[in-house]
Amino acid sequence: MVSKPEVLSLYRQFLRYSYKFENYNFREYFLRKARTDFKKLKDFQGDSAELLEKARADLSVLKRQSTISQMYHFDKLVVEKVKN
Amino acid sequence: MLRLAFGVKNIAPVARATRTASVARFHPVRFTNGVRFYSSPSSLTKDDVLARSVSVLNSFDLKVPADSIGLQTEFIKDLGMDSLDYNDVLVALEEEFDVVFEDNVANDIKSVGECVDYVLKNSSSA
Repeated sequence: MVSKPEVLSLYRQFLRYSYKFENYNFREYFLRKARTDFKKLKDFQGDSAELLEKARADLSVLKRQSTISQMYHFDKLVVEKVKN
Repeated sequence: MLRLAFGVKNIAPVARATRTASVARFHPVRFTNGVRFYSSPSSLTKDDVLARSVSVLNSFDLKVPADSIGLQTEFIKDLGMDSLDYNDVLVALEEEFDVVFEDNVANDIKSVGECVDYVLKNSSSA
């Protein structure tokens, strides 16, 4: 059984790395995906060990890809807020 | 007008003389080992942090008006959020203030005030 703090910590990490994407479309996609995926599993009953393992694997992919994304420049889209 | 111009000219050499005298005494300081100058330290006040936190919270779907949010406001009890929602807020606040909520802290945070205190304690920049 996976503990609640562990899941929340994982959730925060998913969001954290998603925010780091330079590219707007990737960033919003991964934020949306993290939110909906975790919401979907809210009432999950059963063996969560396998899910946890998959989430950790996904997180490492996300970590790697967001780092790669930061190596390239992407022009800001018109819908993006520009930080002052 | 002409006299005025002359008058200024007469004063000028005196001023220049004093300036050169002081320049002669000036010894430039050489930094042999790397020195980095920082701008003034963080001037983040509690009110600033609260106002920016509220504007971050406002970007989420809230069930209460933004002006009713204060330091005592609790995410779950007052804002009707679940644990995923308020962790979402925490990460959004991390982005806003360039801090990281440590796991042991994030699991205990319940109110906006606790977030504000943590940001004030841990933020290095404004």
